[in-house]
This record gives sequence, structure tokens and C-alpha cells, in this order.
Amino acid sequence: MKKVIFVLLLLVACMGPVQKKLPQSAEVMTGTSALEVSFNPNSMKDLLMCQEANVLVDMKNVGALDIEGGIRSFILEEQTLKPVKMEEKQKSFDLEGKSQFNPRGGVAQFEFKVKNVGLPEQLESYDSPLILQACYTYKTSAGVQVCIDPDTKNVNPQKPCRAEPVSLSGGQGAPVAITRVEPLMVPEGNKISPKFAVYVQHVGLGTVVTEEGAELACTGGEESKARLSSYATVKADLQGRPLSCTPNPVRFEAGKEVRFICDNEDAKFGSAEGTFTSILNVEISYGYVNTAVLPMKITRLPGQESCK
Amino acid sequence: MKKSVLFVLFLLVLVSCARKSTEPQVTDFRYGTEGIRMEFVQNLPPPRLFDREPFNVMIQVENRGTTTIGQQDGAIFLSGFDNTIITGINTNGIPIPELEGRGPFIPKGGINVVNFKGVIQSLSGKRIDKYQPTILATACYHYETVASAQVCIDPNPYAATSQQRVCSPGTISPGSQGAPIAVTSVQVDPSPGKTRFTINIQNVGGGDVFKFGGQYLDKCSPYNPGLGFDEIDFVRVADVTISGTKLAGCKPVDNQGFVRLANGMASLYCEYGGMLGQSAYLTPLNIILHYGYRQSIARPIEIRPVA
Repeated sequence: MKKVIFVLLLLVACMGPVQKKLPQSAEVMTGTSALEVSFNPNSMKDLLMCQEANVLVDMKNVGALDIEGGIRSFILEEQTLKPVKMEEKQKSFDLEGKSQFNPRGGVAQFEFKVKNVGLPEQLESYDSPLILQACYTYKTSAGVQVCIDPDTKNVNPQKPCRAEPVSLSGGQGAPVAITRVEPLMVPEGNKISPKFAVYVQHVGLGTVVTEEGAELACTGGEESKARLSSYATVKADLQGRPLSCTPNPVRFEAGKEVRFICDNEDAKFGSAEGTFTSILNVEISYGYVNTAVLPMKITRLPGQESCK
Repeated sequence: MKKSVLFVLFLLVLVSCARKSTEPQVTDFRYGTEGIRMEFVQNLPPPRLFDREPFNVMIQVENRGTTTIGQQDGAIFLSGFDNTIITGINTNGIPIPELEGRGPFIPKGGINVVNFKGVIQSLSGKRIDKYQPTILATACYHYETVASAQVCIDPNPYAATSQQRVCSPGTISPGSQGAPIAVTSVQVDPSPGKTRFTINIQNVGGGDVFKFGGQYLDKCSPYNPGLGFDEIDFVRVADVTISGTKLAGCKPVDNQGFVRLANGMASLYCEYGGMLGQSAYLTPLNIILHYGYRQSIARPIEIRPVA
């Protein structure tokens, strides 16, 4: 017994002081989605001819930006299924994004009623998908910590940071993610002018369109094709000084990383500023379209001919 | 039980009968490989801060060596942060307060604190969850190494007569000297009429050594262009004396008295010709080196926006 107590005491002594950990804070600017749209499992998928169906839609804004003035619209085969209220087919919506005070983001649920208006005579059943599109403008905003190091000759080896590439994994709470930033300190006389190569990628499940194309994607209209291209405009600043970025707008291609370079010829740093960690603010603006599909099956009852 | 009580009593008697030394303890004070030691005072800065709060950094400075440092002998600088986010920190540094070095009757060097005060600006427009700079405190100061070693001088080392010698020349290690630059060894090479010394110097403090002088001290700041390659890794040989005689012409020393360290080490070659008598004898060799020294400590912090 004494031996056991001795061993236990020894173990406790060897464990050392208990280290206090900092409380965890919610990380808001992470994730690769903005709006998540899905049909609720309780929605009616199978209906009988002439029957009305209740469809429930769940929307979650898991991104870091609030959606304002978004449009949701249903696409359906109106010769088979018709909205009970026509005005419900296309509506605008707002949805709060993630924040320190709402770390999960805003959630909304709405109901959409459709009614079967009949089936062609020769059909006993018919599959008609119900498609929901949500279109909105979104922004990827990131504050990337970069090292500004005027000491390009490495005269001072003891530095708080080094101008090395910064990898950003996990996204910034938006479907377009900044994946890495490569800072380049370009010597100009006794000073340096920092340039930043910013790499971005579309990692979401939806479609990127131009900012102007966001509304058109859900409402349709003239000249919509050009505006529905996957272009995004970029903005960047360092210490409050705007940087000019090229190319701008940037075009996204599926599964590919896109690069743009930002600099400001007037933003120069000398030895008087020292080597320090600063924040490069990057903002990418675009339109985004999410789609969800509910396969619906309409079945004719024996002897049923038409809907009155 | 009885036996153990008796044993304890016996020990007590022994302890009480032990002769107490009445002589004052004289301790060696020239030991150690540090000059200034810096430490962040606990929780200053705290690991996590919030924007629009005061930013306080307190650094404890202790003189762990033997050279007394005055206000003009150095400064501490704080760097590593964006001065548009943390404002109000003096980039000219704060002079190191006067710190007495260890001495024959001062077993511990002076301790003081240096305080930097600033303000954290709002991060709400920066689109970040947190700003995580590494705060670097850099101390730049003048220091001195005083090394003393008993060397054996043999005026006639290869004499044919067999003579009793009190010492024979060889390599001596003087140990550490309470300074970041140390004389690690002295090699004595006797010859008839002359004795040559190879004095090996090494940077043992873990920091950077640079030329002694006010202009170099200013350049040491992280907010200055920095010390050039012709200014860093230099030690000034202030004095090399043997038996009170200055050894002039130690090599390789430039016209300003500086010797260059390569990979943190240097060797100084000196010659002594004023030997007394014909028999070997022990005499003190004193070496005094002057230099600037730079060292840094770092602490990562995290600043979060309140809203």
C-alpha cells in the first residue's frame, strides 16, 4: 500500500504544474461555403395526381458575410406542377452570416406549395424535379498576416518574422477561398515595395457569376450570358493604403487556382519601420448561385382522368 | 525504535559540535556567459488581448555579468508589430536602466524593469478573427570582458641543464568570465627570449557581437538599416598586459583595435619579450575586450476584435 502511495506521489510530482489554456474563441472567417440550401426531408416527394404538396426548404448561411437582397426562385414543369401562390415562385431573401455573436450563422426555413394540374393520358406516373436556385452577391474577405521585411539583405538575423509564403487552409467563410499569399519584397533604393501574389480558388459547390449576374441568374433576362461568366472583382489594401491588383477581374476555372498580383508603388517601407507582421486585406466580390433539386413523383390513381 | 532515536540524537550532537567558520567567504565573481538577461514579466503582455485596449509590455532586465551598465550603454527596442495597429510604442527604444555588474562583494547583478506602453487600434475593419504578431524585444548594449590567467613564462625553455621548474608552459583555460564574449583558452608557446600567446576568444552568449562605439549602438536598433558585415562580429582588444607590461602589436588587429570573429571565434596572437631571469615563473596575463552586444527575446501574442 505504501509503495503504491509513493509511486502515485512520484507520478503527481513528475506531472508538473497544470498549464492553463486560453479559452477557445469562435473562428468566424473559416469554411468554404456561403449559403447551404436543401429540401427538408419532411417535404412531400411523392404525390398523387391532382394533389397539393408541401415542400419545405432549409437555408443556412454558414459563410462569414450577411446575404442581403438575395433571390430564391423555383424552376418547375408548370404543365405538371404549379405553385399554389405564384408570388412564392420567386422571392428575395436576407440571411445573416456567421459572427462572433452568431457563430453558426443564420438559419431560415420556408414553405412552398405546389399542385399537380394533371398528367398526360398515357402516363400512370411521372417524375418531375423541383429545382430551387438561390442567387446572391457575396464577398470573400480575408485579413492575411504577412511579414513586411525591409531587411532584404538579412543584415539582422534576429527577426520577429520572415517574408515567406503564407498558406491558408480551410477557407475564409466563403465559397471562393484565398489559398495562399506569396509576399515579395522588391528593393527600391533604400526601401522596399512589397508585392503580393494572391492565389484563390473556387472551392464551393455552387457556381460563381459576376456580381451583376447574381440577380440575372435567378430572374433570367437579356444579355445574361456574358454576365453569368465566372468573374470576380478584387480589392486589396495594406495599412489602409489601397493596392492595385492585376488581373482584375479574375476569372475562375473549375478546380484551378487563380493568381493575381497586388502592389502599390507609393507604399514603401524602409529600415525605420523595422520588420513587422501586418495585415493584408483582400476582398473578392462576386455573384453566387446555389442549386438544390427535389425529385418529385406524381402517380395517377386507377380511374383518375383529370383534375377539376 | 530506540535505535533510530539514538541515531538522530547522535547526528544532532555531531552537527552542533561542528566548527563554525569565522573567515569571510570570498567568492569568485567572474563566471557565467551572460551579460544582460531579459525576460517578459509574466502576463505583460498577456497571451490574448483585445482591440482598443492598452498594450503594456514589461521586460525584466538583469545584469548577469560583471560589467556595470550605465544609461548611455544601451537600449531596449520593441518590434515585430504593425505600428498602425499597435500605436504609441517608442521606436527609439528605452535606455537600459543603470545596472551594476557582479563584483567581489556584489554576488548578484542589478535588476530593473523596462516598460513599453501603447494602444491597440480597432481591428473591426480588418476582416480577421485575430492578429498574431510576434513581439520581439531587442537589447543592444556595450559590454566588457576581463579575463585573467596565470601563465607560465620560461625564458629559457630548451636549456641543456636540468633545472627544477615551478611550471611548464602549456594551454590554460581561464573558464567563463561573466560576459557573453569569453577568452576560452590561452596557449603559451615559449622560445628563448620570447614567449608567444595564442588567445582564443569565443562568443558564448548566444547573441550577436558588434563593434564597440556609439554609432554602432545606434545601428543595432531594429528600426535602423542594421549593422553592416564590416561592423558585426568584431571585438575591440582594449588591453593585453602581462606583469603590468602592455603587449603591443597583437595580431590580427586592425588600426582601430578590432579583431574579427569567424563563426563566433577568433584567435589573437601576442608576443612578450621582457622576461625576467633565467628560470620559469608564473605571472598573470590580463585581457580586456570591449564590444557591443545584441540579443533578443520573442513572445507571440494574439489580438482579437471585440466586435
